[in-house]
Amino acid sequence: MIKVRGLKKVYPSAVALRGVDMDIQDNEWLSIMGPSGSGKSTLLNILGGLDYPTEGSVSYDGKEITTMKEDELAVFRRENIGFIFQQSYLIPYLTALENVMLAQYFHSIVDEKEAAEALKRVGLSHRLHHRPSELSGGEQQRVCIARALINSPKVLLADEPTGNLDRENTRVILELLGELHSNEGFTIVLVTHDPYVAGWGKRLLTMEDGRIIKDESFHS
Amino acid sequence: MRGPLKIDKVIKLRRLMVWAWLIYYLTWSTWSKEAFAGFVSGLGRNIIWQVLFVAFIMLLGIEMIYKFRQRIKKAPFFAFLWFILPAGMIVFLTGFFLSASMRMDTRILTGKEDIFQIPWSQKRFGVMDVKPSIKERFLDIEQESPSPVFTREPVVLLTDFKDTYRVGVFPPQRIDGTFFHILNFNIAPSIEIRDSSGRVVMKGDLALQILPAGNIDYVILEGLPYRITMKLLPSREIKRGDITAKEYDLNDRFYEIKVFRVKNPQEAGTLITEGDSRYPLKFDGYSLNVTGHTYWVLLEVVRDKGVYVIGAGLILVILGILVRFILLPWWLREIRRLTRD
Amino acid sequence: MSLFIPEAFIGSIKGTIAISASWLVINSYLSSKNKETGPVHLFILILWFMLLFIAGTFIEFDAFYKDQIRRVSAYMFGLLLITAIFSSGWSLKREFRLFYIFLIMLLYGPDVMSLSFFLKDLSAMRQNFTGAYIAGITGFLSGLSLLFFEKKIRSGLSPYLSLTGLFFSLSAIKLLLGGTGGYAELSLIPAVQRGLMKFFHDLVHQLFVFFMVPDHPLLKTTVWNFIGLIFGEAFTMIATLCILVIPPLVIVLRLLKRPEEVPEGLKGAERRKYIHEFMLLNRKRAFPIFLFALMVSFFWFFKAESGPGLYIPQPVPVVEEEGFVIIKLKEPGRELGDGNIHKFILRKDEKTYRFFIFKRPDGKFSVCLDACEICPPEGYGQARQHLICIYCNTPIPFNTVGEPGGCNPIPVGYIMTEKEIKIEVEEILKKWRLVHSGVSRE
Repeated sequence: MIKVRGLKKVYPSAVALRGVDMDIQDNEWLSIMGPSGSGKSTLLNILGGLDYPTEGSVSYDGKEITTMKEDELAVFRRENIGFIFQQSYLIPYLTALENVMLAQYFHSIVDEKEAAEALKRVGLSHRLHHRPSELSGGEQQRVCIARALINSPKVLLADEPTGNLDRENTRVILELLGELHSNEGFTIVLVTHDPYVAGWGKRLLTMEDGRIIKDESFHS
Repeated sequence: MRGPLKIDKVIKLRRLMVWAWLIYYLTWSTWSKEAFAGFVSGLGRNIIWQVLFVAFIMLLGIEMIYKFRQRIKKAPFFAFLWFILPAGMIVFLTGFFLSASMRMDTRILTGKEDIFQIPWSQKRFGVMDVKPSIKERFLDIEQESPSPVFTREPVVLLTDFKDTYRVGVFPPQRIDGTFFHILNFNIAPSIEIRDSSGRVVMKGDLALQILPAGNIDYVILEGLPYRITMKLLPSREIKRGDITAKEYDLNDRFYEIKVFRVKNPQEAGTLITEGDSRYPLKFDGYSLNVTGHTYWVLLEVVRDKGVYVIGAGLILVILGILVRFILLPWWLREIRRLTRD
Repeated sequence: MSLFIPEAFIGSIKGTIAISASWLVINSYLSSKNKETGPVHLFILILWFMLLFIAGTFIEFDAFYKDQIRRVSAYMFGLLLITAIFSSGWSLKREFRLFYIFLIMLLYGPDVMSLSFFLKDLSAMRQNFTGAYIAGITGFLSGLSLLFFEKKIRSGLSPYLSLTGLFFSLSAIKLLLGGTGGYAELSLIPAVQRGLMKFFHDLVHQLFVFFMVPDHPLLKTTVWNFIGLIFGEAFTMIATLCILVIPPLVIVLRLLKRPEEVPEGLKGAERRKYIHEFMLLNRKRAFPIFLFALMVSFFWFFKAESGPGLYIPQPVPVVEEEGFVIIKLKEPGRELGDGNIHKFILRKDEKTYRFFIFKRPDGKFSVCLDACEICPPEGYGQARQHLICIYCNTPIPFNTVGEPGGCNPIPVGYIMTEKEIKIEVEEILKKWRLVHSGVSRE
């Protein structure tokens, strides 16, 4: 379980978070919505250990991450958290397979068979040896999902994962995420401004001006 | 109910013995006499050593078979390939034991037209010819190692009065399961000693170690109180600066001879005359002539069944090393590669 | 008179650093098993070495025992090395702290005693007791200061030490810092080399006997060229390197491999993480072993560059007096009993006869011809533990010098009085006849 208490983040020019409290249960799919500048990406970055808060605490199963040192945090991130962003951030001169294997390499050791298997699960078994430039936007994002999940993270943090995709591709990606989520049982925290995308989650937080203003749960 | 043989315990005992042997060897080679030679001769004579060694081979064998049985369940073919090396080691050690404990050998000094007998089989052999293969002319240069005097290995032609055999230095010649080879070889000058009345009192060939050139060797005359030393003399000496080269021409060979009077064979004696072999040497009323030369040969004769086992063991060990460390790893790599593809 | 003799300081700090370093390495190893030794153990250790030091200082040992004690040191190194190689297959269920304490006691006992002999000799030689012992004690205390860093070193070292790594590290420390009297005694390695070489030589020799290959060049043949190759310096040097370096390298290579089995149930990232951590740990553990192999190679190269390092003295001419050669035990500039070979040359009837006198470590004098029955009479040189036949490189252990047969120098009978050794000239001439005749033809 992730516990967030009194989270504040103050930048020199602005205040991004003004005291956020929330709990995220294991295996939950949580969507966070809000207008631009409402602090949702900042919250996601702090949740993922990519940034430190000015005040407050974030703990994973009782383990506080805001007090961890840089190198401890790096180890924690690589073993527990997967990221997907709006941009794919794939290495352009590596193939899809190699991009996934790179994530394996930073985690521990590479295993080509396992990487190929992961790409097969996201429906890219025919695209293993293609470079990102040879893949469509949806395919690139699927590589990103394979890369984010290759090290079996407990939590997947997604920041506008479908922001660059058309409706059809968005649906495909979300279906895929849904399938993997129910099969592998990781937690998803997805930030979006698209109500259609947010609707795929079981719970929706709405943010405004650095605060959570609404917390709704859906039961399907 | 009694359980099956506790094979683990036996293996532990084997390890213990390897340790005991290592410690024994280190101790004795560091502190005492020739460790290995002592070990081999002990194996030949001492019953306790023999029992220990046989026990060691057996324990080694048991462990190997135990491991082999484990492997054969997983992959029979590879288990056989794996087994070559341990089997070779066991065969080698067994051969070692057989050879050390049962080997018979003797050395026989002989020359052309001699007949000799092998002590254990009573079989007789005649020496038909000795082919010396000595260079006819050679240079001996000071401050260098002795110049090679043989053009190739000397050879002896032996007969068992049915067939003839060529016996060289290496490899040994096998005749009826017995090995022969030349262990030593040299010139035997023929001498003749006459008394003042011209009667021949002694005649024979002297088995001397006078090659490489410059060696001095001696013989004590039987029945006469003299020691005779001989040395091959160069036919020519060439001097260049500090270095002298001596040229020897065996077609025109002659020797330096010294005669010492001795009271008993142990003492050096007093020099009474010296000269070279081209002229008769006179002393105490005797006259010594060098009438020619022949060659003497020291043959080593060995009967050793163990050597076949050692040879087989050695071949297996070499084969086993090749299989175990080159063929098998390559093979397994290939299999892994193929199954991955 | 100087109050500080640097040699004493170096000898003593070297020994103390070796002991402290061994203690630290052992403690680092044990700490990963939660079995650290305590101050009581350290006290036992220091007490033991103090006792040995005092014994070495106040008890008069004669040369024989002194030499034996030095040899124990080299012997322990050999034993440690073999243990290290064999230990790669061991897994200890229980660790006994006292075993390791005992190991240090054994490993450095002879060194500490040698150190006390060394300080005693030094103070006698320089006639400066205070200087030698002040420097010695300063060295001792400086070496001990290493122990202050124990905690830091322990936590840094412990991931690098497996049982095998521990033994190899101890071997490395012993190799680098063992022995006394300056750094010249890096030569623990040649002592082991000789032992191994001897074994190798004996084994090949025995195979030659089995297969009836003539061992020595009684005849010049192509076969001999090959045999000569095997017994040559270059071959034995390379063989020695292989024997010393291949086992640790094989262990290193094994440690660098992936694990053969992964615990069941581990899949995907967890499996990879297990393999990664396994390999990371083993890579760390391989490091000290690799370092040892590197160190041995370095010393080997050093030794190979500097040649065999034989001591071959010039023979001193002697003359015959009424049928005897008489050599005084002590003369200005020469002492026959100093443990070195002393060569002499006798000219008689235009021929020269070389022989030598050697006092063996067991105290017995040996008079031998500088030649054996087998090789051309090139003579012998002296190495640390052996006389070496210059022609065929066969090592002769010191205590067998004076025994007849084989590759041993031909012994000559002598008469010993209080002040001199008398050798009958006839005896020398008689024995010289055995030289390089290959066999006895009586």
